[in-house]
Amino acid sequence: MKGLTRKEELIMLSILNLQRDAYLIAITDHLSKITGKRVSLTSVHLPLSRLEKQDLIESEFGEATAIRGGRRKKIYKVTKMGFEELNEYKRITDMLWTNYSMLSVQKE
Amino acid sequence: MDELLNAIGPEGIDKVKKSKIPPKFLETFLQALLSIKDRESLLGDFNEMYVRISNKGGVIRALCWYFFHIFKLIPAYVESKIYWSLIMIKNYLKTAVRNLKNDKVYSVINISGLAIGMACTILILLWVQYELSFDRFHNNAGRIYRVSAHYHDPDDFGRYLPGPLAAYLKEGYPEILDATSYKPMTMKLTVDNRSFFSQGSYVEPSFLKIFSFPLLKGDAETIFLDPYSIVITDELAKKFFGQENPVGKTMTFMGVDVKVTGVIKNIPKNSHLQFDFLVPYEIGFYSMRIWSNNSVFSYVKLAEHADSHAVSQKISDVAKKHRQNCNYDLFLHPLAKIHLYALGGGGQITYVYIFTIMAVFVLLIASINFMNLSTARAEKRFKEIGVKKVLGSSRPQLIKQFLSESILHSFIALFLALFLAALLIPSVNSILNTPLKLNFSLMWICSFIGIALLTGVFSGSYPALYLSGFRPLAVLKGPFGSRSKVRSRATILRKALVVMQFSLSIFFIIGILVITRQMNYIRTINLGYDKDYLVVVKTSGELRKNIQVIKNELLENPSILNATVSMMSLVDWESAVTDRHLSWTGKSGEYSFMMGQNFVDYDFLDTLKLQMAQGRFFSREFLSDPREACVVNEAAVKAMRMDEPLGKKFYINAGTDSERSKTIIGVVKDFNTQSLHKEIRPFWWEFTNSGSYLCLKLQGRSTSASLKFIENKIKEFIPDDPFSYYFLDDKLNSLYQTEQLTRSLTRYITFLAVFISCLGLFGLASFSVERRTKEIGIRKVLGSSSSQVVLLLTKEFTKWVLMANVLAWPAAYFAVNLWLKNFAFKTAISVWIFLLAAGLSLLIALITVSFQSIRAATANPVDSLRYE
Repeated sequence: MKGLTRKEELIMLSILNLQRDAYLIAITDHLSKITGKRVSLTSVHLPLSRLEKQDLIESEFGEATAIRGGRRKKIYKVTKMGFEELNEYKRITDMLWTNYSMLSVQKE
Repeated sequence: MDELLNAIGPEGIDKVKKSKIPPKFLETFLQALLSIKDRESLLGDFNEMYVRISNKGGVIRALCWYFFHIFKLIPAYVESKIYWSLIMIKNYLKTAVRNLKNDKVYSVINISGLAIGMACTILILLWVQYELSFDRFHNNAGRIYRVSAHYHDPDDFGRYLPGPLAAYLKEGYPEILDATSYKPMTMKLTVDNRSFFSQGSYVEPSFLKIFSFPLLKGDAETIFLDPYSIVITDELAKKFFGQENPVGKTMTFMGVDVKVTGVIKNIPKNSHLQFDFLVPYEIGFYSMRIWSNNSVFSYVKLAEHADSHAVSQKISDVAKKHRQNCNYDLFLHPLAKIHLYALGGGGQITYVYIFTIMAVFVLLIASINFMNLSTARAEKRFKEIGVKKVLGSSRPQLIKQFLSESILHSFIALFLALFLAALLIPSVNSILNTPLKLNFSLMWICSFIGIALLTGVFSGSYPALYLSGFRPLAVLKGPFGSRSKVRSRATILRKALVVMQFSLSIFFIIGILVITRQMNYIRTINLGYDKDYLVVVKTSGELRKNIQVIKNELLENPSILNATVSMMSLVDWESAVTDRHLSWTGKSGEYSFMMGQNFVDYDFLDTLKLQMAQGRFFSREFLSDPREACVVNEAAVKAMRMDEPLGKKFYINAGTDSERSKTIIGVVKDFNTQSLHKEIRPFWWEFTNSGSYLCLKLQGRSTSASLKFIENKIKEFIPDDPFSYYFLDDKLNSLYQTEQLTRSLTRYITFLAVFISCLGLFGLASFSVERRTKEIGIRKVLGSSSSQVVLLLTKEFTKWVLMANVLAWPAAYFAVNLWLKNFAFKTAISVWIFLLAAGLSLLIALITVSFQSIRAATANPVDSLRYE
C-alpha cells in the first residue's frame, strides 16, 4: 500500500473511466462533472505528477490538435501496479462497509 | 460511459479561430515558469482551456483566467528556483573546498597573495578616508571658508592677512554671517611656578560659533566676556590641574593673569586647526589690529545659500582699499579643501590619488595571480570540466562553479586581510602619525564585502569564461588535437598577465629608487652652511636683555663651540615675510618680490659656518654696524638687480615714518634654510644684540649633556622658563614630512607588489615545470646537463621580465618626472636607476624561478619517465 489520498484515488479512477483520452483537462472536467464541484487544473496536475513518480500511472504523448496550439497531449494510463493498488483500496473499503452493514443488521 | 466521454471530449476543434489563441507574450512568460518536463503538454492544456473559456465567456474572461493561473504559478516557481540554486551553491562550495584542499601550494599562493593585496588596500582606504575626513566634523563645514590672498607678480598665495579684516567683512557684507581672526602662536603658560610652552591662538568670541569644537565646561556665549579669560583643552587642563575642575582657576599668560572660563574637548587629529588653548583677540598685540601687517588667519561663515564665488568677487579688493602698495586679492578657500588642496594647486590630494591608484594596482596584481594560476591549473582540470559537461552541466553552471571558487578564495583572503590589517595598523599609525583604526560600521563592512566580491568576480571571471567554453569532446580527447590550440592561446594570455604584473612591480621599484635618491640628495646637499649639531633654543621674551650674558656663560662650556642670537627662527619664512616696503639705491620701477628678514648678532656667520661672497659680515671693529649696516644674500642681490651691491643704501619701511636706512656691507653666499621645494629666497639681515632665539653649535659628542647644561643655565636666569629647543636637522627634515611619508608608504607597497608578483611567478613556474617534466626527462636521457636544463627553463621567464621592463620604463619615467617637479633642487633621473630596476627585477624573478627549475633539472629522469 502506497497510501493514496482520496483525491489521488478519484483521479486514478477517472483515468480508468476515461480509458483512451485521459489527459489533464479531460480528467479535470470528468472530476467536476462527477463531483458536481469546480475542480481546478492545478489541483489535478500536482497529484498526477506525484502518482507518476510513484509509478502508479504512466504517460505518453498523444495527438496534437489545433485547439492546443499544435501541442501534444500528455495522456495518462493506470499501470498494473496502480490497478492493483486501486483494487486493494476497493477491497478494504468494501470490507469496511460490509462489516458495518453486518453490525447494523445485528443491532436491529 | 460513452455518454460521458462525448460530453467531455475535445469539442469544436474546427471552430477555433486565430484570435482565440492566447497572446504570444503571455505564453512565452508561462513557458519560462513551467518545468521542462511538463512544458509542452501543459502549454497545450492551457491553450485548450483558454480557447474553451473564450468560446464560452469571451476573450476577456479567458485572459483573466490565463493571468490568474500565471500568478498562481509564480510562488511555486520562485520556491523551486531558490531551492535548487541553494542546492547548487552547496555543491559549488563543496567542490571549491575540495579543490582548495587538493592543491595546497596553489591555494596558499593564491590566498596569501590576495590577502596581502587586500590588507594593503584596506589600509590605504582607511588612510584615504582619514585624509578626506579632515575638517568635515564641523556642523557648518560646507559654509565655512578661510579668506586667502592671491599675490600678483610673483604669482603666489598666502594665508596670513591683516587682523582687522575679519571684523570688517562681518560688518560690511550681509552674506557673511560670522567671521573670526585666528592668530596662532606658541606661548608660555604658567600655573604655580609650573610652565609649559603650548600651542594656542587668539580668537574672537564667534570662533566657537563658527567651528563646532564642543565645550566640556563653560558656556560659549559668555566665555570671552572678560578679555582676561582663557579656554583650554581637556588635555592641557589635565596637565596643569589634574583631576581638579579648572574653571575659575588662574593661569599666567604673557605676564598677565587670565582666568580659565571653559574647557574644550581635545582637538581631533583630523582638524587643520590645532591648539591647546584659546585667548580673546582683544588682548593680542598691536600688530594684530592694523591693516599693514599680515599675520593672522581669517575665517568666515557664509549665510545659507550664499554663493561663495560671488562673495569672493565682492571681497577681492578689500585689502587694497585699506592699504597702499597692496599687491594681492582676497578670495574664499573652502574649509574642507584647506587640508587637501594647497592654494594654487597640488597638496595632499595628490597623495590621496596616488595611493588610491596604488591600492588598485596592488589588488590588480593579486587578482592577476589568481587568473594566471587558475588558467595554468586548468589543464589539470580539463577532465573534470569535460566530465561535468558530458553529464549535462550547462555553461552558466560551470561559470557559477568557477566564480564561487574564486569568491570563496577572496573571502578567505578577506578574513586574513582584516587580521593582517589589524596587526599592521599600530605600526602604520606610528609611521604616518595618524589615528587609524579598523572600523566595522555598516559602511565599512559593506565595502569590505564589496572588495572581496569585486576581487573574486574580477579574478574569477577570466578563468570561468575560459574554462567553461571548451567543447567537451576537445577537452576529453586527450593532449593532442584541438586542445593544444586552446592551450597556446591561454599561454599567450598568461605571459601577457605576468608581463603586466612585473611591469607594475618595476614601476614601483623605479619609483622607490628615485624617491630614495631624491631624499638622500636633500639630506646630503650642500646647504651652504653646516647644519649638523646646530641646536636652536627658543627662550621666552623675558630673557631678552640677558641673552648675551647667557650666551657668553654658555660658551664657557667646551662642548658648546659657538653661539649666536637671533630675533626669529632660522627656518621660519612665514614670520619673516614683509612685502614691498623696501627701497634701495637704483631701485626703478616695479620689482615686487618677497624678502625674508632676520636680526642677528656678530657670531651668526661663524656659528652657521657661512661663506661671504663679497664684503664682510657685522664686526665688532666697526662701531657703526649695529645702526647702519645690513647684509643681504646673493638671491637678494639678484632680485634687486644690483651690480655692485657693496656700499649701496637699503631702506626698510621706505616712505613711512619708521623708515630705516642701512648700508649693504656684505653679501652672504646663498644658503638654504627653507624647504628644497623652493628656490633660495632673498634675505637681509640687520644687527641685534637681543632676541629670543639662541642658535648653538654643539660638539658632536654628548649632545644630551650639553642640552642639560643649557637648560640649567637658562633656569638660573628664569627658574620657571620652560626649555624648548630643536635641532636644525630635525626641523629641516620635518619640512619633507609628506615626502618621507610617500617614501615609507611606497617602500612597503613596492615590497608587497614585488612579493605578490613573485608568488604568482613561483606558482606559474611550478606549473610550467610540472608540464614539462617528461620533456626534461627525455632531454636528460639524451645527454643534456642540469645547467642546460636550468637555462632552458629560466630563459622563458627572463624574456618576460625584460619585456616588462621595456613596458614599465616610459610610464615610470613620466611619473617620476612629475613627482620631481615639486622640487626646485632635484637629482637627475639617470639611466642607472632604470638599469638597476631591471637588474633587481630580473634577479628577483630568477631566484623565484630557480627553485623550481633547479629541482626539475636535478631530478632523476627515471622518475619522470617511468610511468607512461
